[in-house]
Amino acid sequence: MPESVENIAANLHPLERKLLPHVGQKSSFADIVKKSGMQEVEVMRGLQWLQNKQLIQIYQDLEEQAMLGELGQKYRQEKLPERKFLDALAKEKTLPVSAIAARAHLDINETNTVMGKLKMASFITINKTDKGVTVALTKDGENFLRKPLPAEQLLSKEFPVPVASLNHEEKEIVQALQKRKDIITIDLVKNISASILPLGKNVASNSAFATTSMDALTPKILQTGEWKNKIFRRYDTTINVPKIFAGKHQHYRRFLDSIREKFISLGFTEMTGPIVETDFWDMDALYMPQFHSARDIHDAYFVKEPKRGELDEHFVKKVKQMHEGGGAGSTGWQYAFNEGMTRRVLLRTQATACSSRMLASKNLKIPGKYFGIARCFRKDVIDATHLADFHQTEGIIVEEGLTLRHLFGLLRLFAKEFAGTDEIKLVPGYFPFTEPSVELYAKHPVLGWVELGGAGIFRSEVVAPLLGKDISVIAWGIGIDRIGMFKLGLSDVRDLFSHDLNVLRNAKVI
Amino acid sequence: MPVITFSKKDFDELLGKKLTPNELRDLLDYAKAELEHAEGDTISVKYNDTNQPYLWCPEGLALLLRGILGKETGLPKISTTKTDKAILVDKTVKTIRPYIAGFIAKGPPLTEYLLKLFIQLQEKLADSYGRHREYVSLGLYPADKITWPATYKAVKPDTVKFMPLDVDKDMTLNQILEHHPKGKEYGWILAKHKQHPLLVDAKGAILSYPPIINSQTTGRLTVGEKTILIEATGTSKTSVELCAVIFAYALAARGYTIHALTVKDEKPHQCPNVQPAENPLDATLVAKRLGLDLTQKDIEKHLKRFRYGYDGKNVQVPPYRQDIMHAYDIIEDIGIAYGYNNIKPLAIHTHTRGASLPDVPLLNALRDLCVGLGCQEVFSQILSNPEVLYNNMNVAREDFIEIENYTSATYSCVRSWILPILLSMLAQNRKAEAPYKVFEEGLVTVRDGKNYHDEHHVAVTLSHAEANFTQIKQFAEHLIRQIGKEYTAKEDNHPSFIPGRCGALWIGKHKVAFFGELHPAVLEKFNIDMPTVGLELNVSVLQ
Repeated sequence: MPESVENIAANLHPLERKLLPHVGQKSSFADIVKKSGMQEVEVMRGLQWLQNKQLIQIYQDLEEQAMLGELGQKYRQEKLPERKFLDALAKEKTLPVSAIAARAHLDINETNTVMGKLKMASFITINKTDKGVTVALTKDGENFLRKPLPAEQLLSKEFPVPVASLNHEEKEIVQALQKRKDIITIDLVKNISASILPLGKNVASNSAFATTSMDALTPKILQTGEWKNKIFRRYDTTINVPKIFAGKHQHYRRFLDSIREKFISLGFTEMTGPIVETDFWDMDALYMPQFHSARDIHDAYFVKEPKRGELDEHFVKKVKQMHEGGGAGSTGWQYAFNEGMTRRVLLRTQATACSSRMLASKNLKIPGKYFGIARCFRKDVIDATHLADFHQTEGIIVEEGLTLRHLFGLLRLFAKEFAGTDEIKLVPGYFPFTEPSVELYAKHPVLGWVELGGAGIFRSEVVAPLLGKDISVIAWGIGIDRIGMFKLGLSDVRDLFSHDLNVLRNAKVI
Repeated sequence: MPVITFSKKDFDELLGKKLTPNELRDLLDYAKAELEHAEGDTISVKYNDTNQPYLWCPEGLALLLRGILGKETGLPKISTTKTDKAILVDKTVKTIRPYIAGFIAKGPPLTEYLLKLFIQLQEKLADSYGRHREYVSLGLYPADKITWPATYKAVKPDTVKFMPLDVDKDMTLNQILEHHPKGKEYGWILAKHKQHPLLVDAKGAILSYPPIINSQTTGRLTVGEKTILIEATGTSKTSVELCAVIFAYALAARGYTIHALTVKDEKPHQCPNVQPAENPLDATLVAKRLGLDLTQKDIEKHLKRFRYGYDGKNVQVPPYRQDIMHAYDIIEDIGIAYGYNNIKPLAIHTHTRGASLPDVPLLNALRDLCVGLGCQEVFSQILSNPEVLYNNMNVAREDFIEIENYTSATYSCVRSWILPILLSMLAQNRKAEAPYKVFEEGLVTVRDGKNYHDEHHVAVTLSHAEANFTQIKQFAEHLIRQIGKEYTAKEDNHPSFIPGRCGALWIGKHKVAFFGELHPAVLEKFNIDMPTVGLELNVSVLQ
């Protein structure tokens, strides 16, 4: 149902209300701007809205307009060469061309052009004598010493000039000036105008048009109670409004926060360790032999200064003994343990370094459950699936009597908690510090079997030197960056650390 | 992680069963391996366990899987024949590369396929197990040309000349290290030694220059050869002998007979030694580790499927298993043979109270306050570079944690503060819609001489046409006030900021935060053309 005239009139925007009276038949845009005293952008916007409501019709006509060229501008400010030429003759009436040119500051080209024009108009006569060419002013010419030339009259108009508004003579002058360089050009210009439509006239004459509806609600309106006798202008509530960029937590940090919460709710206590580690806590304490090929996948970044870190000699002695000669039921690796190498300073390659520190800590509680979300570093070429800087989530459960069955129970729980699935596959794995070792796969509805992490029971060779006794320690690690990518719907691991503000602002809140 | 490639058809024959790709995939779990690639008859297998090198050839893999399938269980035995041939080990190698193992295999003429497989095994053992030949390297030779006994000794590298593989002229050892591709690749292993190892025969013919290269004349194994010498040199006796044993089992599986050599070092011994090791197994440990209540018979069944011998008390460990250091290593194999997916999981019922690290609530409070102030949180990599952290910030480089072996100059050190990282991010977002208000809470590492420690920092940058000192001071004071701390505001003169427009908040004798209007010279270095204010807060001193 079409809106009533009264409704339309009542709900006009202030811009529209201000504009409508200035729209007549084919009122030009410039005219409306002038009369309404509004800015061009406001007028354009308002006209568009009025047209949308079918109150007016906007026209965009193409029109020929005479524009001033660079020389044209100059001549308007200074003088036409014709004028300079005539002025030079004003006193003597007859002079040699060279004298005129010198006095009028005209070059040869200008002099010749101007002479031709003035002769054609019968303002001068040209006489060739033995002494050279002389020019004499005619009667007509003398008349024009005191009144403007037709070309001067034309140039004094306000430009651009619609060609249609020129009379026959003026058009001829324009044509003549067009032939001379850079004085006048004719351009096709889009000319905007608007006409009021019958509905517009009705709206403008409706009583609701005159009674101004309330626009923005202000404290003053509330204080004075002014609103009581008025109606509020209706807004277009479906209109597009600009986006706001408010404060927001980073998407991956929020995810990691949720992981922390989850572990705490499962009874785990958070543990940590330094970013800059020693070979000892990162690998040796985990019974990774110093010469072993398992170290190849732990391509560590070594630190330039200091090269050697401080260690607790008690633990160095115990670990060294285990590597060299064994103990706790083990033969040991049986090689000469290098104490220099164990002090090497590197960037932590695995979160298991936090576990080895925790096992050796005075604060360790038995039974105890611990987890750590740790930044780790490995020498890797950075691409969509690898970062030199990444996270691992690791943990241990220290309790007498835990077996592989308990480990499997824990992994089942993790698959449920972190991947939301009951469908898991346990595959024999290999980690230098656990025996038995297992890899956990979970069924992803789209991706199929996805590796969630690795786990095992710490070797006696790890536990005995650090804890002073050999009891069951379940250890596990989850590739948290990958799970985060799934949850956040990312395919490039670099997006976890994105520095693109648009990515950060538009990232889904989970 | 080693990857080996072989023929599927050949493998089926070794196994005695034609496997479907899915059956193979499932079986590989028992070897801690996965199917990397399969195309036509060619398959590639990747091993996750770097500790069981006997599996890195189709013969070894088939040995295990025949047991798992029940086709042939228990300890696999091979026999060796004694010979009067020997390798004499000279004292000169003792401090360089002291150990050597070797034997001779005789059998059918070598096919191209088998030659390829043996070279593959040789390379995997030297590369992965021997860590790029540093700890172990191996050589294969046609054995007929050798005059026994051979001698393993060390010589000065400029005194000896021979023709290495793939070259047609004699070269000294020094020339090989300098010019031969293998010399260039592996020369570092010998770099610190004045004398270098050499294997020569009784007539003085040079067989090889371990661990660099074999001789072209006496050390090139070719198709059709029936008698092969296999040797391994290295830094550990166990490792070189293990490699010999693995090769002996692989060759035996191909119908070769194994002829032992006497290695005459301080304790002359026969090589290869294929005697199993005897390990007592306490059955209660099985239940303790696996949680499975297995009968003696079950244990025996699973052990034998994994190719162990078992007499009810002792486990006979095959000689190619040098990874057995503890009873739990054997017990894991019992668990694997039992089948991980057949093991019933048990819940852990012990109640423990969970807790975050003590500093987490404060860090989260600060993060929430920053978000409340309209900032977008950022999470960056911790690795950065001195250009961004110091040069661009007009800060003299002090001690920081620099990476010696970095792969990319962009990530060549650990950050010691966060503000520069937010500025470099700003430079990347010049086209993003205003306002630019970001913060990051995270770890940094601060170094002072030999000492270093991690700190938690919060950094903030506000960048817009009207950004000014007041706004960032308000921000800083808001954070400290909201967490209930009393502070003193002082002037600061940090070189990244405009002089006279940099302030700091102090709690007692600790500077907690500094902030101000970033100096145009700093902004210019980051290519930022918008007034920007910044703040760096050290949370660690608040605790």
